[in-house]
Amino acid sequence: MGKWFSYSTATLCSIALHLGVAVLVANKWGHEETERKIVAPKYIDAKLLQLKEKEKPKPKKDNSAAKRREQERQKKLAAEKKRKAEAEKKRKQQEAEKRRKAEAEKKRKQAEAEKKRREEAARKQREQERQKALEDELFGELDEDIEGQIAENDEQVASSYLAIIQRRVSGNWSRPPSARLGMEAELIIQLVPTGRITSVRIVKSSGNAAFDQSVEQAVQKADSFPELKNLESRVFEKHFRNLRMVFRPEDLRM
Amino acid sequence: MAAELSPWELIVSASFLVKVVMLMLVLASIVSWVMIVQRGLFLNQSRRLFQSFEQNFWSGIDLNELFRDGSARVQQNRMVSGAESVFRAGFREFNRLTKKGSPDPDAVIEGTERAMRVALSREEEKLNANLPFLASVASTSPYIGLFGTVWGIMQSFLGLANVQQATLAVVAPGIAEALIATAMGLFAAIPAVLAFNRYSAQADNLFGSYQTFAEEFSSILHRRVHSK
Repeated sequence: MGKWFSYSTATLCSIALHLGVAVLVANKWGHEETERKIVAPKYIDAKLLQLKEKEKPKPKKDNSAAKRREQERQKKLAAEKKRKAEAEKKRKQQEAEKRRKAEAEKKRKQAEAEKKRREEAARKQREQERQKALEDELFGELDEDIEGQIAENDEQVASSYLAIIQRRVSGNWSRPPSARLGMEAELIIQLVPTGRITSVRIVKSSGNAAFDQSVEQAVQKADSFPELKNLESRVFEKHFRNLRMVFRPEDLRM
Repeated sequence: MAAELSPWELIVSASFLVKVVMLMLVLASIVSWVMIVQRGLFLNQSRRLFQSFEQNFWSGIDLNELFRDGSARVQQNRMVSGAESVFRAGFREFNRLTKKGSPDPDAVIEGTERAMRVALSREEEKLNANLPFLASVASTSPYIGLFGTVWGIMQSFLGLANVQQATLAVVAPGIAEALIATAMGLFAAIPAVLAFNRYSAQADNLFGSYQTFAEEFSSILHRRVHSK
């Protein structure tokens, strides 16, 4: 057995083993999704039971006359029972008959209602289709208009939220004494959809370090704007993901 | 969504670095299995050859004949036992020294023993070949897999930061795909650890037998030199 032979057998074995494992894993995993059985909890109705004392067996009387009387009484009782049972049976039959009739009637009515309903639905659908076709025709022309409107609407919403942010930030801003008119600092605020500020970056310095710092601190102090949570993601992505703000000492302006 | 999570898709959709890690681990696993099988065959055969050689040696056969037998086998390029190569090295040296008519028997013995020591260390090398590779696969591949996992989880959390609603369904596929790297690392490491431990014990054992044989053989030669 040469070296070459032992190495080539070993290589073959190894590759075969890995392929086998790969195939096994790929197959098993796909089939392993058994349906999950939902086991409903079993309920047991609890009822209050009334405890009754068991009737005690009556002491027997070995009196033959009494026995005969007893037998007679039982016979009478049995006859009575039979009669009653028959009457009951008849009554039940009648009732069943009645019920059947009522049911048939009900079914007929249901079927009718169903039919009517279906017709109604078909009619409605036809109408809707017609309406839709009409609308489509109309909207084909109006589509661009509507988009423009939506954008405008977004713009309005965004500006109202901007106003909120401005108010909050300017409330936190303490202008340094070295601030002069005409200074201007521009910064980019990164926000996440929950309204938290993830980073504040000054893109255009005012030239005054204290001023820049005060501006940055004002934004940091605000920490988060929870109102932004209510915003649609479309508007958020467009306007608030990277928010650009310009600060001037006389006012806070965008 | 969960129905579409097959391992293959997870592997394909993994990030580049994780893929590289997985590829490395698969290669390491394949090569280590090559070593495992090859070492297994080699050690098994070595043990069998050693047993048959030892039987042959102690059967009272003439040492010259045994040497000639071995020469024939070596010329046919067949495998000879480690103990036999030790024997052949020692015997050759012994014959050379005695033919020269060296007067000092101790010098003869010393030369023979040196030749046998050299042959022994060569045999030890052969027995332990490839075992260091197994050891390094065993010790490093879990770490490599772990690295892939950590990287994958990092990526999936970074992706999470950009998502508005962070649910488990968003992170879970990323984490699952990252964990595959660890699974692969362990898959490569466990057989390597087992094989390394087993084979190094076997190799030690065999080497010990070779040493014992060398001692015995040198005592035979010693007797021969001093009884002259």
